[in-house]
This record gives sequence, structure tokens and C-alpha cells, in this order.
Amino acid sequence: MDEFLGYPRRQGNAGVRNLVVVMPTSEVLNRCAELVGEAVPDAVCIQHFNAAAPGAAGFHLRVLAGYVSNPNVFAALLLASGDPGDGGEELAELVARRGVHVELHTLRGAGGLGALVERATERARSLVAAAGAVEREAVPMSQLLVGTECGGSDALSGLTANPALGWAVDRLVEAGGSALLCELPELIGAEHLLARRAADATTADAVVGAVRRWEELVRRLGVDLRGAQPTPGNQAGGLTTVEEKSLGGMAKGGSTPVVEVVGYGVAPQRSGLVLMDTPGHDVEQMTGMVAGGAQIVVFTTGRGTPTAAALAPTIKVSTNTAMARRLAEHIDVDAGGIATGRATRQQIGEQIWDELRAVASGKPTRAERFGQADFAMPRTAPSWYADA
Amino acid sequence: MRTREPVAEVTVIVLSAADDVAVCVDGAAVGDVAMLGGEPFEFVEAIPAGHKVALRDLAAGDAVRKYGESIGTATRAVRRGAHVHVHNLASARGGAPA
Amino acid sequence: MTRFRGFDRGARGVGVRDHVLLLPSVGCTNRTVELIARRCPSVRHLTHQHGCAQLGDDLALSRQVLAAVAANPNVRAAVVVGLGCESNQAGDLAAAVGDLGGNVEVAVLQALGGIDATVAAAEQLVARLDATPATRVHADASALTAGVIADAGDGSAARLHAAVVAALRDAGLRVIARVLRQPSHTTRAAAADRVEELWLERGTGALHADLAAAESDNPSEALALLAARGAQVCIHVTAAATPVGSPVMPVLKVGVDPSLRGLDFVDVDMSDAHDATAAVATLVDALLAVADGRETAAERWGQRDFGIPRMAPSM
Repeated sequence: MDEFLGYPRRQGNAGVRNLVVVMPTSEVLNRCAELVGEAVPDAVCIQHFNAAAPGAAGFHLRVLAGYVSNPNVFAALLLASGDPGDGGEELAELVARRGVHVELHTLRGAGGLGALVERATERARSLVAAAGAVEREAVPMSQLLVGTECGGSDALSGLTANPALGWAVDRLVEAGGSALLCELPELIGAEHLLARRAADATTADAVVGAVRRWEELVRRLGVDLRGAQPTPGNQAGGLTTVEEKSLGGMAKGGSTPVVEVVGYGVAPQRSGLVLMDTPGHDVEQMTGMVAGGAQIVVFTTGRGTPTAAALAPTIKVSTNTAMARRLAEHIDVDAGGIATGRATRQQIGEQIWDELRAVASGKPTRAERFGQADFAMPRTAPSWYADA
Repeated sequence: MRTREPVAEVTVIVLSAADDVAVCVDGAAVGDVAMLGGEPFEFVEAIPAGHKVALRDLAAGDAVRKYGESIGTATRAVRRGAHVHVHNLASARGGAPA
Repeated sequence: MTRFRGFDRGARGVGVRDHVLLLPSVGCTNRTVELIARRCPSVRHLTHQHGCAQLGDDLALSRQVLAAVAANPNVRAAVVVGLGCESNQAGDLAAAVGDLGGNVEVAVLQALGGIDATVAAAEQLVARLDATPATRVHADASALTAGVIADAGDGSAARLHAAVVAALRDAGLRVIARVLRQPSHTTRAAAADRVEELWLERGTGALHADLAAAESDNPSEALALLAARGAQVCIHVTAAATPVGSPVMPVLKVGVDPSLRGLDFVDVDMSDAHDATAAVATLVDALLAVADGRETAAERWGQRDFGIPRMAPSM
């Protein structure tokens, strides 16, 4: 049966977790969030990186609002300074409008850092208890929006883990669910293939346009992408060019048509395979997926990386068995058997599908056991202007 | 030319009929031979695990295909059976202006 | 008082703290660093989201900042926690720290076999580094570089900032000063939802990694630059409720607004400073006491804010 046990929300979607998130609205409140997290380990306390740059406040606000309104969130505790213009009230308003329980606590309002930690700790503790008392209910798999990602890729990524993930994505789309294909700089060289199987001409143009805009940005910045993509680890693992990496990476999306192209952190309107315009940076892309409503991330890796999305359980799929054994504490599914003929793409695809259902219903991922809760906003502007 | 018994463990994956390179899953040593399409294929260079081997001779400037698509351009002549990587294959995308 | 007791760092100068610092070469090992720090309560640590998916000299600048912070005179030794596949390779970062005269060890997660093994290895490295005490020396004010930052706000902080800078220089300290501008170009591309527009405002043309030329109005980044430039102590003059501190430098918080009076993340209240000269002289004394070992509020709270100025977006 295509169902999992989750948390239906008033907004009509459903979560796979029932989280209390403690979100600093600026980096200077990271330590406060950390102290709350030490006192209330079941709350997810975000360390904020890359806060709003001048000119990007609107973007930042929109993405953060989507982020703390993710369907996995039961309640959001925002931490702000309380200074005029700190964005706390605006963010709380946007989140409240989405029907999520949100509280804003400020340094000025509490009267100090110690008082803010105490107040936020007390509230987090209380909300975690309330969240834990909610029972899971049967929810159709079609409610899932799964984020797909590859990080620490090697030559086997495109041969084993990514194609197996693509099989599971096809299965999800067939069941009425949706998946996100992201990291657009890592689709350079493969965009024409995705465009060919876009749902319509507008989407096809959007696919090509979005990917080539990254390439054009790099060109106009006067840098050579070849120094950054592929990474040293990719190259050691056998990936020579960005095209090669992209052609292998594309396989994560399976074979169904791309139905929509959305901006960073924007929730898809259509169901099926959706392209989200994110950087390839492992954590920045996951943050965008979660802001767009993804409840689970499936993350393939060849070299082995422990990163995971803060608000969405992140299933790690290894491309090769040697790494799956060496870094066993970080891997949920091993696709390495495909390279040696021990398993077929479908068999591993089914394992991923089963893991999706199990994790959606509450099974912890390896990353959750380590408390991995990575977060980063994409950088939107240079830190300084040489000629300013 | 030195010949050896084919090494059964040398796993080579060819992704598409039109490809110029194949992936050596566990790598290969000089002189190793794999069976490709029923024919013996000899490695003339050591190939690290996961890296590519040229399936045919390539000239500098040739497009190099994998997955049936171009993954870049050969930067020098490459022999069939040789290691294909950053020393002889360059991306055709994302380059800085001259 | 123009003398203080510091820690002898040879060619690197004199430190006012004796930290063992944990730092990730790439954001992927942030959580690993946090878990190590839990087991080693005496260490300092920083986390960040740089080190991979960065273009050319933008990556080089990140490496320069990280290396220079790890080589700050307040740092007895650093442990770089790498992943293994990252652009900012741990070995290269460690070499850069060594080139600056710093002491550094490395632990790489993919080589060691995961978080548990990395935590165990790092614990051993820390234990060894903890066991080698630094020599204390008497030094005078001229051995100190003070970073002095102020939030621009309504100008009151900036005015006091200027007076503080002058007084510190008169006392013989080297001073690096910056007033952090408020985001005045928020009106530019106000509806910008497309990431690239703001990047291209800096103009086109090659990026050059030049630590000396880098600047930032972001407090975490500004403090990181001060640490990278060798500042051992900092003063932060502000009218805002901002507890920001540094993992490697004591930051003395000076409030210039009455609403900050008595708050537990502020060290000195100067909202009512009628006699600016006397007030500023007290501040100089307070800073020297901090150099001599007095803990600031930011240190007490464990504020370890850190950021790296960026010239290009992540790829």
C-alpha cells in the first residue's frame, strides 16, 4: 500500500516528523539557539549561516518563512534581537499566515541573553512535550515531496546510486508524489536532455534558461568553473568534467517529464518531477528544498559525507560498497552492488522506496542519530564592493 | 605484444554503444585484459578505480562521449586502452572568457 | 597600566588567550567539530558553511581567512577537521597555518572512517595539545593590536568609536578600526529575487584573493577579519542588542544606548558618558584588563560568531 504514518497538517499537506524548531533570525543569536538545544535535545536548534545581505532582505525573509513552515514543523520558536528592523515580526507574521504555530522571542523583550535562553528553553521543552503527544496517522505517499541530492560524488554516482534513486523517484511520481531535482550548476552539460523531456515548451525553455544562467553568471564574474567543478574528491573518484558529473547527476531525477521549474525555496505548484533552482553547495541546496516543502531528502554519495538537512530526515545512499562499509555509521542504503552485478537498479530502487516509507513513518536515519542539522542560506551578494 | 590471460575481475562498464570511454569499477593494471563484446580489450596504462579507459584511439580536439553524450574534448591524442582524465580531457563548458 | 601578561608565540607575537581551536576545513564537518567540542570542554571551536562549491579566488580567500584565524596569537594550536573530498583540502589549510607560524594538527573524516573515529582521533590530538603549556610573558601595550568596531546606527556609536580609537593609539596600541555600515543599499534591487543581480553589481572581471583588501559590514565577518589580521582583543561599540563575540578574541561590548544598560551581554555602559575623555580612559584600562585575562561577557556566554567575506556565490 502506498502509505506512510505521518502528521496531517491543517494546510492540507503532511509531515514525516513533528518538530519544534528554534530559529535564530540572525547569526548573532546562534549561541542562544545552541544553549537552548543543549537543554532541550529534542528541539531542532538551527545554526544560522549567511544571513541576509544588503538588498536581499526580501528573498531571505521569503525563504526563511517557507523554511520554518515546512510540513515537518509542529511549532517554530524565532529568536531575534528586538531591535527595529531585525525582521523578527515580519517573519513571525509570514509564518503565522501559513497556519504554523510560531512564537517570537527577543533579546530586548526577555531583558538579556540569560533570560532569553531561559524563556526559549522553557517554551521549547513545553512544545516538544506537546509535539510528542501527537499520534501518527495514515497518509498517502502522494503527499511526499522528496528532495534529491548528490554530494561527494564519484564516477559510480551516475552508474549506481543515482539511477537507483531515479527508479524510486519514478515510483513516487507514479504514486502521485513529487520530487525535486536541484543543484543547477551540476546540470551544466545535461540540461538539453532534461529539456527534451519537459512537460511542455515553456518548461523546456525554463530548464535550459535556468541552467545556462548559472554558466553565464560564472562567465560574467570572470572565473573559470573548471577550478570549482568537479571538486578534488569528485576527480579522485574518477569524474573529470562538469558535463560528466551532470550527466550522472541527472539520473537522480528518474525518467518522468520535468513538470515545473521553481526558484530557490519556492513550493512547487504541480506534482511530479520539479526542477528547483539551487546552487550545488550541499547544504544551501537542502535548505532550499526544505523551504519549498520537501519532507525527506535522499542524498547519494560516493566519497561519504555526513551532512543532512536540519528539518528533513536525510537518507544517505552510497555509490560503492567499500565506502558503505568504511563509513557504515553514515550510510542508510548501499547501491554499490549495481556496479558488481550483485544487485539491479530496480532492486536498490525498491530498497530506497522501502526506506522512504519507513523513514517517513518514523524510522530514524543515520544522520538523525548524530544530530546532523545543517542549514545555510545561499550567498546573495559580495561582502564588499571593491570600487564602493 | 605481451599477452596475458584475461583477468576475470576487471569490471568495465560501457554505458552506451556510441561511447568513447568505459568506467573501470575496480581499476586495472597495465597488461590486464577485459572481455568487451566478446573481444579481448587490453589496458595499456594503469587505471585507478572508478576512472575511465579509452575504448578507441582519440585525436586532440575530438569530442569524448560517455552516456551517449559529450563529456568534453580530448586535449591530446589518446590511445585505446589508456587512462582518460584531467590530463587529456577538458570540459567544453563553464570556461572563463579568453 | 601599560603592561599585561600574555602568552609568548615567538614570531607570531604575544597572545592574550591560550586557546586550542577546532575548525572545519569545510561546513560538512561542522557537526563533527561540535561533537568533538562537547567532549573537550576546554577547546574553542568555530563553524562555517564555506570550503566547497566556491569559485577560484573566492575559495582562496576563504582559506586565507581560516588559516590566519588559526594562526592568531591567541591560538596555542589548531586542529583542522577535514572531510576528504572538499575543495578546501585540510592538508592545504594546515600548510597555510604552518606558513603563518601557527601550530596545527589535522583529522580527516573520510580517511578515519566516520564521525566516531574522527571524534576519538581529535580528542587525542586535543589532549596532547592541551598538555603543552604556553610560556607567559610580560608585554606592553605596543604588543597589542585592538580591533575596534562600531555599528553605524544613529551615529552615537560611531562618535564614541572615533574617540576610543584615538585613545587606544595614544596608549600605544596598534588599532584596526571599522564602522559597520547599515545596509544602505537595501534599496538596490529591492525586489531582487534573482541571486545573480547583486553579484554582478560588484562589476565583472577576475576575482583576486587579497586578505588585506577584504572588508565586510557583517559583524561575524568583520570580527573574523580582525582575528585574521592579528588582533588579540576587540571592542564593539553599539546601540543595538547584539551579543556577537569571537571564538578566538575577547570582544568587549560597549553599549551607547540607555536601553542596553545592565543587560548581561554588555560589558560597559557608556550611554550616559558626560565626560568622554574620562570614560574613554576607563575603557582603555578595561581593555588592558581583558588583555591581562579578565573575561568578557561574550566569552562567558561562549559567543563564537564567525563568518568569511565572499566575493562570489556558491556553485
